Amino acid sequence: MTDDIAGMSLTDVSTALRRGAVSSTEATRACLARIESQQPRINCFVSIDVDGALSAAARADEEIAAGGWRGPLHGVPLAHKDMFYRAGEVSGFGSRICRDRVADDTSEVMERVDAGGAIDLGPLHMTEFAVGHTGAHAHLGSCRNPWNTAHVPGGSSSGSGAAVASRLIYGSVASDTGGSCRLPAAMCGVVGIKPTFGLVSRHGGMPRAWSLDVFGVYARSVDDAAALLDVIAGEDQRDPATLGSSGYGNGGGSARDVRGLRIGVPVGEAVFEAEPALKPVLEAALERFGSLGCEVMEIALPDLQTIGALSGTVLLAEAAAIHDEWTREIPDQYADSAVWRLQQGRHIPATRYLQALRLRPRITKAFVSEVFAAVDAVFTPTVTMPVPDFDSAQAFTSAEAPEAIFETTKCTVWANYLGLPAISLPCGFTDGNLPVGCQLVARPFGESTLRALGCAYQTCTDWHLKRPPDSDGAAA
Amino acid sequence: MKIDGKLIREEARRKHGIDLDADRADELAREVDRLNTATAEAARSIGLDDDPTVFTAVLRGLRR
Repeated sequence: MTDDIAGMSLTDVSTALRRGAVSSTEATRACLARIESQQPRINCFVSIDVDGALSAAARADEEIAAGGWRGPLHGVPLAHKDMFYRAGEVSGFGSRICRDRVADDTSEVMERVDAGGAIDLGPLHMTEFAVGHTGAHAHLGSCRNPWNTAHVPGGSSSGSGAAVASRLIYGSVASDTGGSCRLPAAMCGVVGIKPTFGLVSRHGGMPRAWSLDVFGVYARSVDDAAALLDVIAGEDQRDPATLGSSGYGNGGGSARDVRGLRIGVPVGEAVFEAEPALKPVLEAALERFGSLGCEVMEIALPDLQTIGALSGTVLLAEAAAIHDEWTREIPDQYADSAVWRLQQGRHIPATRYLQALRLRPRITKAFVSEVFAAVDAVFTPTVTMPVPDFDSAQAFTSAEAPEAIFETTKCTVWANYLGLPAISLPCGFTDGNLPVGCQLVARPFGESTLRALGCAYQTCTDWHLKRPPDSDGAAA
Repeated sequence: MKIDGKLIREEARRKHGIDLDADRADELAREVDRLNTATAEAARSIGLDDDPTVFTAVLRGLRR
Protein backbone atom coordinates (compact mmCIF):
# COMPACT_ATOMS: atom_id res chain seq x y z
CA MET A 1 0.00 0.00 0.00
CA THR A 2 2.82 2.37 0.93
CA ASP A 3 4.54 1.76 -2.40
CA ASP A 4 1.22 2.15 -4.21
CA ILE A 5 0.72 5.61 -2.76
CA ALA A 6 4.29 6.71 -3.49
CA GLY A 7 3.92 5.39 -7.02
CA MET A 8 0.89 7.53 -7.81
CA SER A 9 1.24 10.52 -10.07
CA LEU A 10 1.28 14.01 -8.56
CA THR A 11 -2.09 14.82 -10.07
CA ASP A 12 -3.62 11.51 -8.92
CA VAL A 13 -2.37 11.84 -5.36
CA SER A 14 -3.57 15.44 -5.32
CA THR A 15 -7.04 14.35 -6.37
CA ALA A 16 -7.00 11.60 -3.74
CA LEU A 17 -5.94 14.09 -1.07
CA ARG A 18 -8.69 16.50 -1.97
CA ARG A 19 -11.31 13.73 -1.87
CA GLY A 20 -9.97 12.33 1.38
CA ALA A 21 -9.12 8.97 -0.17
CA VAL A 22 -5.49 9.43 0.93
CA SER A 23 -4.20 11.71 3.67
CA SER A 24 -1.13 13.87 3.37
CA THR A 25 0.28 12.04 6.36
CA GLU A 26 -0.13 8.73 4.53
CA ALA A 27 1.46 10.10 1.37
CA THR A 28 4.32 11.64 3.32
CA ARG A 29 4.94 8.44 5.27
CA ALA A 30 4.89 6.49 2.01
CA CYS A 31 7.55 8.77 0.53
CA LEU A 32 9.63 8.68 3.72
CA ALA A 33 9.52 4.88 3.67
CA ARG A 34 10.75 4.93 0.07
CA ILE A 35 13.49 7.38 1.01
CA GLU A 36 14.62 5.19 3.91
CA SER A 37 14.83 2.27 1.51
CA GLN A 38 16.49 4.02 -1.45
CA GLN A 39 18.62 6.86 -0.03
CA PRO A 40 21.51 4.54 0.89
CA ARG A 41 21.45 3.24 -2.68
CA ILE A 42 21.13 6.42 -4.73
CA ASN A 43 22.13 9.23 -2.32
CA CYS A 44 19.74 11.81 -3.75
CA PHE A 45 18.92 13.75 -0.55
CA VAL A 46 21.33 16.06 1.26
CA SER A 47 19.19 15.77 4.40
CA ILE A 48 15.70 14.55 5.26
CA ASP A 49 13.32 16.57 7.42
CA VAL A 50 11.13 13.78 8.82
CA ASP A 51 9.61 15.71 11.73
CA GLY A 52 9.04 18.89 9.74
CA ALA A 53 7.43 16.98 6.89
CA LEU A 54 5.09 15.00 9.14
CA SER A 55 4.06 18.16 11.03
CA ALA A 56 3.33 19.95 7.74
CA ALA A 57 1.40 16.92 6.49
CA ALA A 58 -0.74 16.88 9.64
CA ARG A 59 -1.54 20.57 9.15
CA ALA A 60 -2.41 19.96 5.51
CA ASP A 61 -4.77 17.15 6.52
CA GLU A 62 -6.53 19.44 8.99
CA GLU A 63 -6.86 22.23 6.44
CA ILE A 64 -8.17 19.97 3.68
CA ALA A 65 -10.61 18.30 6.06
CA ALA A 66 -11.86 21.74 7.07
CA GLY A 67 -12.53 22.64 3.44
CA GLY A 68 -9.41 24.75 3.03
CA TRP A 69 -7.92 23.01 -0.03
CA ARG A 70 -5.27 25.35 -1.43
CA GLY A 71 -4.69 23.79 -4.82
CA PRO A 72 -3.01 20.88 -6.58
CA LEU A 73 0.10 20.87 -4.40
CA HIS A 74 -1.72 20.90 -1.06
CA GLY A 75 -0.42 18.05 1.05
CA VAL A 76 1.77 16.67 -1.76
CA PRO A 77 5.32 15.61 -0.73
CA LEU A 78 7.99 17.31 -2.83
CA ALA A 79 11.69 18.08 -2.46
CA HIS A 80 13.85 20.60 -4.25
CA LYS A 81 17.39 21.17 -5.43
CA ASP A 82 19.54 22.45 -2.55
CA MET A 83 19.85 25.94 -4.00
CA PHE A 84 16.64 27.72 -2.99
CA TYR A 85 16.85 30.00 0.03
CA ARG A 86 14.60 29.61 3.04
CA ALA A 87 14.98 32.31 5.69
CA GLY A 88 16.80 30.93 8.71
CA GLU A 89 17.71 27.67 7.01
CA VAL A 90 20.85 26.38 5.31
CA SER A 91 21.05 26.21 1.52
CA GLY A 92 24.28 24.44 0.77
CA PHE A 93 24.41 24.55 -3.05
CA GLY A 94 26.12 21.16 -3.05
CA SER A 95 29.22 22.90 -1.76
CA ARG A 96 31.63 22.76 1.12
CA ILE A 97 31.92 26.57 1.13
CA CYS A 98 28.22 27.20 1.78
CA ARG A 99 27.35 24.07 3.72
CA ASP A 100 26.57 26.19 6.83
CA ARG A 101 25.25 29.25 5.02
CA VAL A 102 21.95 30.38 6.52
CA ALA A 103 19.69 32.32 4.17
CA ASP A 104 18.10 35.56 5.35
CA ASP A 105 15.32 35.51 2.76
CA THR A 106 13.04 32.95 1.16
CA SER A 107 13.03 32.40 -2.58
CA GLU A 108 9.94 33.25 -4.59
CA VAL A 109 9.56 29.67 -5.84
CA MET A 110 9.69 28.26 -2.31
CA GLU A 111 7.17 30.87 -1.15
CA ARG A 112 4.88 29.75 -3.93
CA VAL A 113 5.13 26.00 -3.26
CA ASP A 114 4.73 26.67 0.47
CA ALA A 115 1.68 28.85 -0.16
CA GLY A 116 0.32 26.01 -2.26
CA GLY A 117 0.58 23.72 0.77
CA ALA A 118 3.27 21.37 -0.55
CA ILE A 119 5.23 19.23 1.90
CA ASP A 120 9.02 19.70 1.69
CA LEU A 121 10.93 16.52 2.54
CA GLY A 122 14.40 18.09 2.45
CA PRO A 123 17.08 19.49 0.11
CA LEU A 124 18.16 17.39 -2.85
CA HIS A 125 21.63 16.53 -4.10
CA MET A 126 23.16 18.82 -6.72
CA THR A 127 26.61 19.13 -8.22
CA GLU A 128 28.88 21.66 -6.53
CA PHE A 129 27.47 25.15 -7.24
CA ALA A 130 25.64 23.50 -10.18
CA VAL A 131 28.97 22.96 -11.97
CA GLY A 132 29.14 19.58 -13.68
CA HIS A 133 26.73 17.36 -15.54
CA THR A 134 27.17 13.88 -14.12
CA GLY A 135 26.21 13.83 -10.45
CA ALA A 136 29.69 12.79 -9.38
CA HIS A 137 30.48 14.68 -6.18
CA ALA A 138 33.67 15.10 -4.17
CA HIS A 139 31.99 16.48 -1.01
CA LEU A 140 28.54 14.89 -0.74
CA GLY A 141 29.32 11.55 -2.31
CA SER A 142 27.95 10.87 -5.75
CA CYS A 143 24.25 10.68 -6.47
CA ARG A 144 23.52 7.52 -8.48
CA ASN A 145 21.20 6.58 -11.27
CA PRO A 146 18.29 4.52 -9.86
CA TRP A 147 18.11 2.42 -13.03
CA ASN A 148 21.66 1.20 -12.42
CA THR A 149 23.78 2.66 -9.67
CA ALA A 150 26.97 2.09 -11.63
CA HIS A 151 25.75 4.88 -13.91
CA VAL A 152 25.50 8.63 -13.42
CA PRO A 153 22.13 10.36 -12.88
CA GLY A 154 23.18 13.46 -14.80
CA GLY A 155 23.50 16.96 -13.38
CA SER A 156 23.44 19.47 -12.07
CA SER A 157 20.01 18.65 -10.60
CA SER A 158 21.08 15.07 -9.90
CA GLY A 159 18.89 14.53 -6.85
CA SER A 160 15.76 15.85 -8.56
CA GLY A 161 15.99 13.38 -11.42
CA ALA A 162 16.91 10.41 -9.24
CA ALA A 163 14.35 11.08 -6.49
CA VAL A 164 11.42 11.65 -8.84
CA ALA A 165 12.28 8.54 -10.88
CA SER A 166 12.56 6.41 -7.73
CA ARG A 167 9.11 7.45 -6.46
CA LEU A 168 10.60 9.15 -3.40
CA ILE A 169 8.77 12.40 -4.21
CA TYR A 170 6.09 13.47 -6.68
CA GLY A 171 7.95 16.43 -8.14
CA SER A 172 10.82 18.84 -7.69
CA VAL A 173 11.80 22.43 -8.43
CA ALA A 174 15.30 22.79 -9.85
CA SER A 175 17.35 25.10 -12.09
CA ASP A 176 18.63 25.04 -15.65
CA THR A 177 21.54 27.12 -16.94
CA GLY A 178 22.72 24.82 -19.72
CA GLY A 179 20.52 21.73 -19.36
CA SER A 180 20.16 20.93 -15.66
CA CYS A 181 16.39 20.46 -15.77
CA ARG A 182 16.70 18.22 -18.82
CA LEU A 183 19.89 16.14 -18.57
CA PRO A 184 19.03 14.29 -15.31
CA ALA A 185 15.44 14.00 -16.55
CA ALA A 186 16.63 12.20 -19.67
CA MET A 187 19.16 10.05 -17.82
CA CYS A 188 16.72 9.05 -15.05
CA GLY A 189 13.63 8.61 -17.25
CA VAL A 190 11.39 11.45 -16.03
CA VAL A 191 10.00 14.72 -17.37
CA GLY A 192 11.97 17.95 -17.00
CA ILE A 193 10.78 21.38 -18.08
CA LYS A 194 13.03 24.38 -18.62
CA PRO A 195 10.64 27.33 -18.90
CA THR A 196 11.02 30.45 -20.97
CA PHE A 197 13.54 32.90 -19.48
CA GLY A 198 11.43 35.27 -17.39
CA LEU A 199 8.48 32.96 -16.73
CA VAL A 200 9.63 31.94 -13.23
CA SER A 201 11.21 34.27 -10.70
CA ARG A 202 14.83 33.60 -9.82
CA HIS A 203 14.71 35.67 -6.67
CA GLY A 204 16.26 33.79 -3.79
CA GLY A 205 17.98 31.06 -5.74
CA MET A 206 21.69 30.40 -6.13
CA PRO A 207 23.00 32.07 -9.27
CA ARG A 208 25.04 29.99 -11.70
CA ALA A 209 25.00 32.56 -14.53
CA TRP A 210 22.30 35.23 -14.22
CA SER A 211 21.68 35.74 -17.91
CA LEU A 212 21.03 32.06 -18.55
CA ASP A 213 19.54 30.75 -15.29
CA VAL A 214 15.92 29.65 -15.18
CA PHE A 215 14.10 27.65 -12.53
CA GLY A 216 12.11 24.70 -13.78
CA VAL A 217 10.49 21.46 -12.69
CA TYR A 218 10.77 17.68 -12.59
CA ALA A 219 7.91 15.19 -12.42
CA ARG A 220 7.00 11.79 -13.83
CA SER A 221 4.31 12.95 -16.23
CA VAL A 222 3.86 16.06 -18.30
CA ASP A 223 0.60 16.86 -16.51
CA ASP A 224 2.38 16.61 -13.16
CA ALA A 225 5.20 18.86 -14.32
CA ALA A 226 2.75 21.39 -15.73
CA ALA A 227 0.81 21.44 -12.45
CA LEU A 228 4.00 22.26 -10.57
CA LEU A 229 5.10 24.82 -13.15
CA ASP A 230 1.71 26.54 -12.93
CA VAL A 231 2.33 27.17 -9.24
CA ILE A 232 5.83 28.62 -9.51
CA ALA A 233 5.32 30.70 -12.69
CA GLY A 234 4.34 34.35 -12.63
CA GLU A 235 5.45 37.90 -12.09
CA ASP A 236 7.67 38.86 -9.18
CA GLN A 237 8.75 42.43 -8.56
CA ARG A 238 12.04 41.08 -7.20
CA ASP A 239 12.96 39.55 -10.57
CA PRO A 240 12.43 42.18 -13.28
CA ALA A 241 12.77 39.55 -16.02
CA THR A 242 9.36 38.19 -15.00
CA LEU A 243 7.49 41.48 -15.32
CA GLY A 244 4.86 41.23 -18.02
CA SER A 245 4.94 37.42 -18.14
CA SER A 246 1.71 36.71 -16.29
CA GLY A 247 -0.89 34.81 -18.23
CA TYR A 248 1.59 33.42 -20.70
CA GLY A 249 3.57 30.29 -21.03
CA ASN A 250 2.58 28.23 -18.02
CA GLY A 251 1.06 24.94 -18.88
CA GLY A 252 -2.39 25.71 -17.48
CA GLY A 253 -5.57 24.49 -19.07
CA SER A 254 -6.49 21.12 -20.44
CA ALA A 255 -4.40 19.20 -22.94
CA ARG A 256 -5.37 20.02 -26.51
CA ASP A 257 -5.44 18.29 -29.85
CA VAL A 258 -1.98 18.11 -31.41
CA ARG A 259 -3.10 17.14 -34.90
CA GLY A 260 -1.50 19.45 -37.40
CA LEU A 261 1.22 20.71 -35.06
CA ARG A 262 4.50 20.86 -36.96
CA ILE A 263 7.55 19.21 -35.41
CA GLY A 264 10.89 20.16 -36.90
CA VAL A 265 13.81 17.74 -36.91
CA PRO A 266 17.12 19.58 -37.39
CA VAL A 267 19.08 18.59 -40.47
CA GLY A 268 22.72 19.15 -41.16
CA GLU A 269 23.60 19.54 -37.49
CA ALA A 270 26.21 17.08 -36.27
CA VAL A 271 25.54 18.06 -32.66
CA PHE A 272 22.16 16.31 -32.77
CA GLU A 273 23.53 13.08 -34.25
CA ALA A 274 22.66 10.42 -31.68
CA GLU A 275 24.82 7.40 -31.06
CA PRO A 276 23.52 4.17 -32.65
CA ALA A 277 22.14 2.83 -29.36
CA LEU A 278 19.73 5.75 -29.13
CA LYS A 279 18.71 6.15 -32.75
CA PRO A 280 15.90 3.56 -32.94
CA VAL A 281 14.40 4.91 -29.72
CA LEU A 282 14.37 8.48 -30.99
CA GLU A 283 13.06 7.45 -34.39
CA ALA A 284 10.22 5.55 -32.70
CA ALA A 285 9.34 8.66 -30.69
CA LEU A 286 9.15 10.72 -33.85
CA GLU A 287 6.97 8.09 -35.50
CA ARG A 288 4.65 8.25 -32.50
CA PHE A 289 4.28 12.01 -32.91
CA GLY A 290 3.50 11.38 -36.55
CA SER A 291 0.83 8.83 -35.62
CA LEU A 292 -0.73 11.44 -33.34
CA GLY A 293 -1.31 13.61 -36.39
CA CYS A 294 1.69 15.88 -36.01
CA GLU A 295 3.46 16.92 -39.16
CA VAL A 296 7.08 15.87 -38.81
CA MET A 297 9.42 17.77 -41.11
CA GLU A 298 13.07 18.66 -41.50
CA ILE A 299 14.22 22.08 -40.39
CA ALA A 300 17.53 23.94 -40.59
CA LEU A 301 18.48 25.74 -37.38
CA PRO A 302 20.46 28.91 -38.12
CA ASP A 303 23.70 29.83 -36.34
CA LEU A 304 23.56 26.91 -33.94
CA GLN A 305 27.31 26.58 -33.45
CA THR A 306 27.65 30.30 -32.87
CA ILE A 307 24.77 30.24 -30.42
CA GLY A 308 26.45 27.43 -28.49
CA ALA A 309 29.69 29.39 -28.29
CA LEU A 310 27.94 32.59 -27.21
CA SER A 311 26.14 30.63 -24.49
CA GLY A 312 29.48 29.28 -23.28
CA THR A 313 31.04 32.74 -23.29
CA VAL A 314 28.25 34.15 -21.12
CA LEU A 315 28.24 31.15 -18.79
CA LEU A 316 31.98 31.10 -18.14
CA ALA A 317 32.27 34.86 -17.69
CA GLU A 318 29.36 35.18 -15.28
CA ALA A 319 30.35 32.11 -13.26
CA ALA A 320 33.91 33.40 -12.93
CA ALA A 321 32.62 36.74 -11.66
CA ILE A 322 30.29 35.08 -9.13
CA HIS A 323 33.07 32.90 -7.77
CA ASP A 324 35.97 35.32 -8.18
CA GLU A 325 36.64 35.97 -4.50
CA TRP A 326 36.29 32.37 -3.34
CA THR A 327 38.34 30.89 -6.17
CA ARG A 328 41.13 33.30 -5.31
CA GLU A 329 41.00 33.03 -1.51
CA ILE A 330 39.80 29.51 -0.75
CA PRO A 331 40.29 27.46 -3.93
CA ASP A 332 41.00 24.36 -1.87
CA GLN A 333 37.38 24.40 -0.70
CA TYR A 334 36.19 23.49 -4.20
CA ALA A 335 36.55 20.17 -5.94
CA ASP A 336 39.39 20.48 -8.46
CA SER A 337 37.03 20.00 -11.39
CA ALA A 338 34.82 22.87 -10.22
CA VAL A 339 37.58 25.37 -9.53
CA TRP A 340 39.19 24.72 -12.91
CA ARG A 341 35.89 25.27 -14.64
CA LEU A 342 35.09 28.40 -12.64
CA GLN A 343 38.43 30.06 -13.24
CA GLN A 344 38.22 29.56 -17.00
CA GLY A 345 35.94 32.56 -17.36
CA ARG A 346 38.68 34.92 -16.17
CA HIS A 347 40.11 34.64 -19.63
CA ILE A 348 36.95 35.86 -21.32
CA PRO A 349 37.55 39.61 -21.83
CA ALA A 350 34.72 41.94 -20.75
CA THR A 351 34.41 43.01 -24.38
CA ARG A 352 33.70 39.46 -25.54
CA TYR A 353 31.22 38.86 -22.73
CA LEU A 354 29.30 42.01 -23.55
CA GLN A 355 29.37 41.25 -27.24
CA ALA A 356 27.80 37.86 -26.52
CA LEU A 357 25.03 39.61 -24.60
CA ARG A 358 24.55 42.35 -27.19
CA LEU A 359 24.04 39.76 -29.91
CA ARG A 360 21.42 37.89 -27.92
CA PRO A 361 18.23 39.88 -28.66
CA ARG A 362 18.89 40.09 -32.37
CA ILE A 363 19.96 36.47 -32.79
CA THR A 364 16.95 35.32 -30.76
CA LYS A 365 14.56 37.40 -32.82
CA ALA A 366 16.01 36.10 -36.10
CA PHE A 367 16.06 32.48 -34.90
CA VAL A 368 12.49 32.48 -33.58
CA SER A 369 11.13 34.34 -36.60
CA GLU A 370 12.71 31.87 -38.99
CA VAL A 371 12.34 28.56 -37.16
CA PHE A 372 8.99 28.99 -35.46
CA ALA A 373 7.36 30.36 -38.58
CA ALA A 374 8.02 26.94 -40.09
CA VAL A 375 7.41 24.63 -37.10
CA ASP A 376 5.68 24.66 -33.73
CA ALA A 377 8.41 22.72 -31.92
CA VAL A 378 11.92 21.46 -32.59
CA PHE A 379 12.69 17.81 -31.77
CA THR A 380 16.18 16.68 -30.71
CA PRO A 381 17.75 14.11 -28.45
CA THR A 382 18.22 15.52 -24.95
CA VAL A 383 21.58 13.76 -24.80
CA THR A 384 23.13 12.01 -27.78
CA MET A 385 24.99 9.31 -25.84
CA PRO A 386 23.83 6.44 -23.63
CA VAL A 387 23.90 7.21 -19.90
CA PRO A 388 27.58 6.88 -18.97
CA ASP A 389 28.80 4.81 -16.05
CA PHE A 390 30.92 6.43 -13.37
CA ASP A 391 34.14 5.02 -14.78
CA SER A 392 33.64 6.53 -18.21
CA ALA A 393 32.33 9.71 -16.57
CA GLN A 394 35.83 10.20 -15.18
CA ALA A 395 36.36 12.08 -18.42
CA PHE A 396 34.23 14.83 -16.94
CA THR A 397 36.81 15.54 -14.28
CA SER A 398 39.94 14.76 -16.23
CA ALA A 399 41.83 16.48 -18.99
CA GLU A 400 39.00 15.87 -21.45
CA ALA A 401 36.50 17.82 -19.35
CA PRO A 402 35.68 20.68 -21.75
CA GLU A 403 35.03 18.22 -24.57
CA ALA A 404 33.04 15.92 -22.30
CA ILE A 405 30.91 18.79 -21.02
CA PHE A 406 30.33 19.94 -24.58
CA GLU A 407 29.23 16.44 -25.55
CA THR A 408 26.73 16.29 -22.71
CA THR A 409 25.19 19.72 -23.06
CA LYS A 410 25.41 20.38 -26.80
CA CYS A 411 21.72 19.60 -27.34
CA THR A 412 20.50 21.79 -24.50
CA VAL A 413 22.63 24.96 -24.14
CA TRP A 414 21.24 26.75 -27.18
CA ALA A 415 17.77 26.98 -25.62
CA ASN A 416 19.28 28.82 -22.64
CA TYR A 417 21.00 31.46 -24.75
CA LEU A 418 17.81 31.98 -26.77
CA GLY A 419 15.62 31.93 -23.65
CA LEU A 420 13.33 29.30 -25.16
CA PRO A 421 11.15 26.79 -23.27
CA ALA A 422 12.14 23.14 -23.56
CA ILE A 423 10.95 19.80 -22.24
CA SER A 424 12.70 16.45 -21.92
CA LEU A 425 10.40 13.45 -22.25
CA PRO A 426 11.26 9.84 -21.42
CA CYS A 427 10.94 7.96 -24.71
CA GLY A 428 12.49 4.53 -24.21
CA PHE A 429 15.52 2.60 -23.08
CA THR A 430 18.82 1.43 -24.46
CA ASP A 431 19.71 -2.27 -24.46
CA GLY A 432 21.24 -1.80 -21.04
CA ASN A 433 17.85 -0.73 -19.63
CA LEU A 434 18.94 2.85 -19.18
CA PRO A 435 16.54 5.68 -20.09
CA VAL A 436 16.60 7.79 -23.24
CA GLY A 437 15.09 11.26 -23.40
CA CYS A 438 13.94 13.39 -26.30
CA GLN A 439 13.74 17.17 -26.19
CA LEU A 440 11.10 19.49 -27.62
CA VAL A 441 11.78 23.22 -27.83
CA ALA A 442 9.14 25.86 -28.57
CA ARG A 443 8.93 29.60 -29.21
CA PRO A 444 9.09 32.00 -26.21
CA PHE A 445 6.23 31.35 -23.76
CA GLY A 446 5.24 28.30 -25.81
CA GLU A 447 5.02 26.01 -22.77
CA SER A 448 1.42 25.17 -23.60
CA THR A 449 2.56 23.73 -26.94
CA LEU A 450 5.15 21.59 -25.19
CA ARG A 451 2.56 20.46 -22.68
CA ALA A 452 0.10 19.52 -25.42
CA LEU A 453 2.69 17.52 -27.33
CA GLY A 454 4.03 15.86 -24.19
CA CYS A 455 0.59 14.95 -22.86
CA ALA A 456 -0.47 13.53 -26.21
CA TYR A 457 2.73 11.48 -26.39
CA GLN A 458 2.17 10.12 -22.89
CA THR A 459 -1.41 9.10 -23.67
CA CYS A 460 -0.11 6.56 -26.17
CA THR A 461 3.18 5.52 -24.54
CA ASP A 462 4.02 4.21 -21.08
CA TRP A 463 7.69 5.11 -20.74
CA HIS A 464 6.84 7.58 -17.97
CA LEU A 465 5.15 4.78 -15.99
CA LYS A 466 8.23 2.54 -15.92
CA ARG A 467 9.76 2.23 -12.46
CA PRO A 468 13.43 1.76 -11.77
CA PRO A 469 14.37 -1.30 -9.72
CA ASP A 470 14.74 -0.97 -5.94
CA SER A 471 17.98 -2.89 -6.00
CA ASP A 472 20.67 -3.47 -8.59
CA GLY A 473 20.14 -6.69 -10.45
CA ALA A 474 16.38 -6.69 -9.75
CA ALA A 475 13.95 -6.62 -12.65
CA ALA A 476 12.39 -3.25 -13.39
CA MET B 1 45.53 38.24 -26.47
CA LYS B 2 46.01 34.59 -27.31
CA ILE B 3 45.06 32.34 -24.41
CA ASP B 4 47.32 29.34 -24.06
CA GLY B 5 47.86 26.57 -21.57
CA LYS B 6 50.96 28.21 -20.18
CA LEU B 7 49.05 31.37 -19.26
CA ILE B 8 46.25 29.38 -17.62
CA ARG B 9 48.74 27.27 -15.72
CA GLU B 10 50.69 30.29 -14.48
CA GLU B 11 47.56 32.03 -13.31
CA ALA B 12 46.34 28.92 -11.53
CA ARG B 13 49.64 28.71 -9.68
CA ARG B 14 49.99 32.44 -8.94
CA LYS B 15 46.41 33.25 -7.97
CA HIS B 16 45.10 29.96 -6.63
CA GLY B 17 48.16 28.05 -5.56
CA ILE B 18 47.03 25.20 -7.81
CA ASP B 19 49.57 23.18 -9.74
CA LEU B 20 47.52 22.59 -12.87
CA ASP B 21 48.36 19.65 -15.07
CA ALA B 22 49.77 20.86 -18.42
CA ASP B 23 47.31 18.78 -20.44
CA ARG B 24 44.41 20.10 -18.42
CA ALA B 25 45.62 23.70 -18.86
CA ASP B 26 45.89 23.18 -22.61
CA GLU B 27 42.32 21.84 -22.77
CA LEU B 28 40.95 24.77 -20.79
CA ALA B 29 42.86 27.23 -22.93
CA ARG B 30 41.59 25.67 -26.16
CA GLU B 31 38.01 25.97 -25.03
CA VAL B 32 38.34 29.59 -23.90
CA ASP B 33 40.11 30.47 -27.13
CA ARG B 34 37.34 28.78 -29.15
CA LEU B 35 34.67 30.79 -27.32
CA ASN B 36 36.53 34.11 -27.58
CA THR B 37 37.21 33.58 -31.27
CA ALA B 38 33.63 32.60 -32.08
CA THR B 39 32.27 35.58 -30.16
CA ALA B 40 34.66 37.97 -31.87
CA GLU B 41 33.63 36.69 -35.27
CA ALA B 42 29.93 36.95 -34.48
CA ALA B 43 30.45 40.43 -33.07
CA ARG B 44 31.33 41.76 -36.52
CA SER B 45 27.60 41.97 -37.16
CA ILE B 46 26.85 44.05 -34.06
CA GLY B 47 25.34 47.43 -34.77
CA LEU B 48 25.42 50.59 -32.71
CA ASP B 49 21.91 49.98 -31.40
CA ASP B 50 22.31 46.37 -30.29
CA ASP B 51 21.27 46.69 -26.66
CA PRO B 52 21.46 43.60 -24.42
CA THR B 53 18.92 44.96 -21.95
CA VAL B 54 16.00 44.53 -24.35
CA PHE B 55 16.28 40.73 -24.30
CA THR B 56 13.25 40.02 -22.09
CA ALA B 57 11.17 42.54 -24.04
CA VAL B 58 12.16 40.73 -27.24
CA LEU B 59 11.03 37.41 -25.75
CA ARG B 60 7.68 38.87 -24.77
CA GLY B 61 7.31 40.31 -28.25
CA LEU B 62 7.89 36.88 -29.78
CA ARG B 63 5.18 35.07 -27.84
CA ARG B 64 2.09 34.01 -29.69
